[in-house]
Amino acid sequence: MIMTDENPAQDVLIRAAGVSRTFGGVTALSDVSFELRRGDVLGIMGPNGAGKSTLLSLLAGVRRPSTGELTVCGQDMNRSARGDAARNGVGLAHQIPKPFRQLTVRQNVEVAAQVVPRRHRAAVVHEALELTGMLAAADRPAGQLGLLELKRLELARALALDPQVVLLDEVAAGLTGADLDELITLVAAVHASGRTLVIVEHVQEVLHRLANRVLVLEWGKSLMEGTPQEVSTDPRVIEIYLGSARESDEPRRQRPPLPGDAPALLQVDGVSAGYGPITVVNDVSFTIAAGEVLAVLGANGAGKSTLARTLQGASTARTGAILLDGEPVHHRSAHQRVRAGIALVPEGRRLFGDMTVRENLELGLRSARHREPLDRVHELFPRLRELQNRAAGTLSGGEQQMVAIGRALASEPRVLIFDELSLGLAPLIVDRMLDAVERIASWGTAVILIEQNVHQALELADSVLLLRRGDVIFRGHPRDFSEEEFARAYLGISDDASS
Amino acid sequence: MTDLTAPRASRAPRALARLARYGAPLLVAVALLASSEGLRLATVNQLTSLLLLAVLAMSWNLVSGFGGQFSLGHSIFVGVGGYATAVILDLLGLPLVVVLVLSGVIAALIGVVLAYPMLRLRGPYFAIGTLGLALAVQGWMLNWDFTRASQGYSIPLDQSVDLLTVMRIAVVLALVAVIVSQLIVDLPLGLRLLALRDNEDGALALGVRRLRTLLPTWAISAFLVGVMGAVVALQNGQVTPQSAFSIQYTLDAVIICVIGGLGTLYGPLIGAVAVFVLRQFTADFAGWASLIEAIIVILIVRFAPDGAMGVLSGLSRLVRRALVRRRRLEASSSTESTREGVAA
Amino acid sequence: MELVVQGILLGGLYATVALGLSLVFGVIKMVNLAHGEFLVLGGYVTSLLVVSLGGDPLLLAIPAALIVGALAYPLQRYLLTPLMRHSTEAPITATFGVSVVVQTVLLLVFTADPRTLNAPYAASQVEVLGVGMRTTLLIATVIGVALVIVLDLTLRRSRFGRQVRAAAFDPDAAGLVGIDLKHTYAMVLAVAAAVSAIGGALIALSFSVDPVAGTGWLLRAFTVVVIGGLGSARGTLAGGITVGLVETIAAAVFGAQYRDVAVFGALVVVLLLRPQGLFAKVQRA
Repeated sequence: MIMTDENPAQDVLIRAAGVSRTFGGVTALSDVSFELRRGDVLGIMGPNGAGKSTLLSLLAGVRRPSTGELTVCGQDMNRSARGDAARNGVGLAHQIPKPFRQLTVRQNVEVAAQVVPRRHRAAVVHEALELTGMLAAADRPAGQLGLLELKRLELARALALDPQVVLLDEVAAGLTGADLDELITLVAAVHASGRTLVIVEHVQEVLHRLANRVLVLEWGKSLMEGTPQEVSTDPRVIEIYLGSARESDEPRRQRPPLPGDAPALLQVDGVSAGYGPITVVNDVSFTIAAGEVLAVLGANGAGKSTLARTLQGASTARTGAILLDGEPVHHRSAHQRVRAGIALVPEGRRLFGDMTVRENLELGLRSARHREPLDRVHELFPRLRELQNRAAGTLSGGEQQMVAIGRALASEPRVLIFDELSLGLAPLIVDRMLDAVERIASWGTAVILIEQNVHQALELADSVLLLRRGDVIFRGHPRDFSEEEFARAYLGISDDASS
Repeated sequence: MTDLTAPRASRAPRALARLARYGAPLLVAVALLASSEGLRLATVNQLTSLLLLAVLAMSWNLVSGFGGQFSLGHSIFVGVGGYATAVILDLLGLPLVVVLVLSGVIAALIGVVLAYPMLRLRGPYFAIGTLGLALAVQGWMLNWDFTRASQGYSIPLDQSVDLLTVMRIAVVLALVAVIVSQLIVDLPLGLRLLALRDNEDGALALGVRRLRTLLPTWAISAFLVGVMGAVVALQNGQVTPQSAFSIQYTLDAVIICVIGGLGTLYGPLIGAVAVFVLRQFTADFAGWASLIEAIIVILIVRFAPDGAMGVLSGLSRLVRRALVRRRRLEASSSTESTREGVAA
Repeated sequence: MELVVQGILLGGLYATVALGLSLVFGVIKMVNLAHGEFLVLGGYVTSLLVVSLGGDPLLLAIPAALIVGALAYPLQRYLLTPLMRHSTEAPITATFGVSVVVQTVLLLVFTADPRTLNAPYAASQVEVLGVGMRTTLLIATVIGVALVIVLDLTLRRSRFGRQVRAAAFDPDAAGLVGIDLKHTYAMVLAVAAAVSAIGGALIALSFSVDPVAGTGWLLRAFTVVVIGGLGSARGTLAGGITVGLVETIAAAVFGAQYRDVAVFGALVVVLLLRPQGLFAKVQRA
């Protein structure tokens, strides 16, 4: 990696001008422009669905831009084929490492090194293993590695392409404490070896310590670009992470306060869950009573959705117990838990798109004859009666969310979990959805509300559970919930590195 | 710079292991060739069949085991090799070695022509497509005057080869198949092949080119199976489309590799021996062998997905772990074991 | 004209033969290499029932279908579904093993001789659009079309059918609405096996079955599915008729012995041109 400044044009490794990408009718990325110079470390942040992954996939040549110009290491990405980027000096490290499990660590790295000239291969492999500290483990099968080692291997594979630019896709996900520090040191070493970095990251600490510039995306557009300090203190950025307060003064909450001695309907005791070697939710305990609203808050990647899926049975808990009315349900599968009375309105709604609204709702029913729950659904969302013969896939986002809620209600749940209720919905629709949540709770249903919009969720909640990287860092009444806790959990302005 | 000593220290035993891996099959082959003189004719014939079964399985394993492309069309190459040998011997009368190599080359060429379009198919579509191809080719051959469907194509008497020589050819062919398999695993080609099988998206993202990896492998596999088909023709003294293009060859390869261990170096050898022995024992009860084989296949897929090789390496891992545990107990440091338990 | 009528009539039978394969592939996303054996088994079980109970083979095909379906349920539930977690190849290899087991058992029990179902109408002819046709083939076609319609209606109208479609569309979300995936998958294979058993009885009535006939029928069924598209009953009918026409016309042009070559060749060509199938709608990504 020799740095020359004889030709300034060569120093711009990535040039994006008005880049957009659409999927079907959906715009994932719209008119994004930026430049990346040799030696830069660019951070990219933004909430879920902001377009970070799409942007990264364009940079890595996995997809092509729909419009706009994108040049990476001198290559026009509008006409690049699969794998060209790897051969052209762009390495990509994924959030979830997927090594070749049957190969050893060294072989994994050697696969990547095939793009470099034969005579350099041995040296490149050695350097990649050495820099990532994987030399000692080089002959172990990749399938046996732990999480931090997998992340190191993922980086080593990217480095074995002898890249000029390394793209890091949430490589810190799932790491905590000393492991996270080690990873940050490792990424810094990669930068010091002369590579230019693009880091997509939810763990703000990583950006604070490594990036010299941060690009914030929202709704596929670039919201702002600045230093990590400028970005984390910008009110617009804080708003997209925490949501805005509601304008109306009319109180949303209609229910009387919950009596202090309300018996627990659902009891969660020391639950941990994750996938592969990654632990996403760690030792979570709480109880919730009938008619109670529990807001589960936390930054992206804190483990909220995994918690929801674990409660509902789509993922299994590794440890701990889940009791419904004192009966253990954690060994039951998802469909049995629905019948026991735990329903989930999943993130992204997951409707059966080629079926009608009516068919979707009827699928939620416990039996074809017992149709009363549908009356309640139609009372809650009268609009669904008009839409009943439309294919669910053709509805707007808000309408789809109504169907998803209706489908869950049709199973007459005693505990209803909402995963990212407001994600991707316009503010007016979000209002209507939260009103519906209040109604549902007033029927005596226990509601677990996973929500990005912190302010609005707190208006409804009887209690709050705040997660940070899988751990519960606050559990209690909303009024005891402090702004500091908030900032710590969301923006990673933390004391964690020293502790 | 101290780190550089680490690989160097392990280089010597690694080279030794490599020598052993290539040397051992060579020794076995030489021993077989040397001792073949005194064998009974029936034994010679049986050994030939076993060796050919092993060659078929090893070659299929290259594409379907290491490469992850489940081919159900390999019977085509057996037929092509057999017919190529019979026809060339009949018409041109070239030296036997040349004829055998030529048969393999023809099979490889046809293999490449077929693979170029077929490799566009993925997963189950590839399996079904190749099966369709095999049955279409068989149907065509059964009705083509060239193949002389009913009476078949005989190896001319003056060119025919005695069974002992056929067995020696089979020994050499099996040796070549073993060495080629090992070479592929040791070369970058094998690395790319395994990477593609393990995680195609990941491999493509790292710059591995799919066709450039699969096509040569497929050609090598077709070459070996073509020569194997040629030796089968020599052994039988004739070829008929019914037997030479029979999909039973492909089924045998699948069964042997699944039993021995798909995508392992020695799995096809172990599987071939196992299947061959089983067939010898059940020779008097026609049909029972395939029933038992199929049941074993189902049991293996369900309970030991890596076949006999998987069971063996699992056992050796258990033994090694037990040894390590004992050593650790002796050193009375038991804190590490919990961490390992989590990782596993 | 005669060829066209013949081809279309054959198509009805082929649709029945392929219906189960299409259902399993479309819903469970699993290639069932034992599909041909479900067909052959249906022919043999019906034949056994005819011999032991006596009666009309078409009526006895119904209990035969129930028997074959009942055999398929545990196969999916306790062998194939658990394997789907391992890898995509594991269940395919297992169905391959199952197909060899069934073939061998049939060979051991019934020997390699082909079997034909006999009925009073088996040898008779009827006239369709001025073309003389074998009655059995006409019956097979009528039953085939009826099965396609019944299956199509079941999938679209009944609660079970909707659960099946939901499981096919998004297995995870199906679990969220209380659908038991393991049971649903097993039921799908059972229904597919039952429909195939009826198809097998029709084959035995119109032609004949032998223990190893399954592979050829599997491929023929695949050709129908690949042409007709996955998981759609009506597409399967269209595919069946196309294959019937291709086969009849090829037999007329090149000679009857080239029937199989034409069908399998068509399979390969269609696969290469359109891996999703000719009549399939373009799937959402």
